[in-house]
Amino acid sequence: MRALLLKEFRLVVHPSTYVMVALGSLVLIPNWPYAVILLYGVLAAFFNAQNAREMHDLSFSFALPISRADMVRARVLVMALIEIALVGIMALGLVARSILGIDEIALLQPLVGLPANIALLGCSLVALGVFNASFFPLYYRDPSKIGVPFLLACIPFFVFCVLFEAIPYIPGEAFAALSVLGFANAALQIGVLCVGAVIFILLTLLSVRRARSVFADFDA
Amino acid sequence: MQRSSEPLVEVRGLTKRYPSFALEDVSFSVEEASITGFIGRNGAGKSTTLKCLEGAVRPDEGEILYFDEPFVGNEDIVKQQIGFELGGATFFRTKRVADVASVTRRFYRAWDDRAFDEYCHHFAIDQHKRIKELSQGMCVKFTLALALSHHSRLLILDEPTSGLDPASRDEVCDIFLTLAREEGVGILFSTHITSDLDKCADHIIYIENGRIKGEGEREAFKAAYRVASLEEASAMHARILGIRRSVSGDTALVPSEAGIGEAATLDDIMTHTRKEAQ
Repeated sequence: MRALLLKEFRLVVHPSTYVMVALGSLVLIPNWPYAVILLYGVLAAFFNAQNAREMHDLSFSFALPISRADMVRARVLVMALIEIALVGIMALGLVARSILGIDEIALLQPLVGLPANIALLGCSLVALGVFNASFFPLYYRDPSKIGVPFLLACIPFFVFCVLFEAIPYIPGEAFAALSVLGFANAALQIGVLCVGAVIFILLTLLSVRRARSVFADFDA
Repeated sequence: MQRSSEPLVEVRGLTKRYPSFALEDVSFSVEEASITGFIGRNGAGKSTTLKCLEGAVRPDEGEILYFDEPFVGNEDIVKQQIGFELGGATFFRTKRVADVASVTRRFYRAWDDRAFDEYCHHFAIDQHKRIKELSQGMCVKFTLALALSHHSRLLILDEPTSGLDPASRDEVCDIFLTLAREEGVGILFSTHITSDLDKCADHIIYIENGRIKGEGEREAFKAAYRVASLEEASAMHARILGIRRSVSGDTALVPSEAGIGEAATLDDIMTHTRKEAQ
């Protein structure tokens, strides 16, 4: 698996991916619909799949001593690592906001969706997990077709993003507690992050399982 | 090098059906230290067969055994000893030769850096060049270098000499002969360039419309056919296997038992269209 991961990072991952991950720093904007950052993140899956197709990755990979299941595992794991890096950059951004006083500036401005806090990270992980679970099983039906699987996978992803961005506007104490800036209500927010991380892992594992199953029947 | 009787690859009853084409009951084997030419017209089923052997296409029926082990379920193990080149070095064309090699080496337990460097030196491949900067012949040699640097016992190649100039084709055939005779490598390669087969193939497998139509030692395979004028074949009531029309007179491919005509070349066998198709 190490060899496969190295192959993915050195030959398949598009250079723009690293820019997408760096865009996690957009969380430094005082108030913004932060779900847009995640859209940049999932675009990495699109560009990497496109790069794999244009570079004839399949004709290279099928010659290697690896199973089809390993090919799927490596591609999804790489995407998961990219997504974790994106959320990690967002987490660093939250710390930086607090140090640089950006949270104070944000308090003076009208709220735009879920504010930059720890719960945002948990919700982001769930959204990315939803994308993984939708995209890869569709993509691996035929890895030469990327556009339709990406668009279809974006539907549940967008729906979840809209839902979590709407949290501050839903009446209720729990929703209000999640709609505070920075590290306030830490226990609740860390709980959301942990639940989000677990859901992300489960959805990504589900994605691998379903993608393996469909890719087993694919003819190059 | 003495040839072992144990096949490196054995294909039994391989079947793959598409809406417009079917590979039916394809069976053959390739032995150690032998060079097998896999011939047939465009669309006959050569590439589909080889893709099944690579695992890129899932057969509907049949069995593939490598080194006496079933391929299904052991892909990652048996491929350690096989070098595939199906479609030339069309992959990662913007990457440097050295970068692709350094990624590839990590997949093979028996990878030999020294052997790769020696093959690159022998083939005059500049490892600092990007793959897209290599000529078509160089791309073939690069994929051969990749396939050989993990000490493959079996090479499976799809039209490796296609698009090469005669000198490069001859050089690739020389490489095949050296590998088979001196290192005991078994080679299965598809082609429709019959002069390459005359130069280096020990065995011929002929596929037509998804079915194996002939197989055997090259000279025995050729000796099974003769070419006669269509008039003579008809007059002698010989079984006509195929017909070729030309301005100098139509000719017929007949079995050697007919006792008419002249010895057939591989070109004659491939270019005489099946009589049923007329």
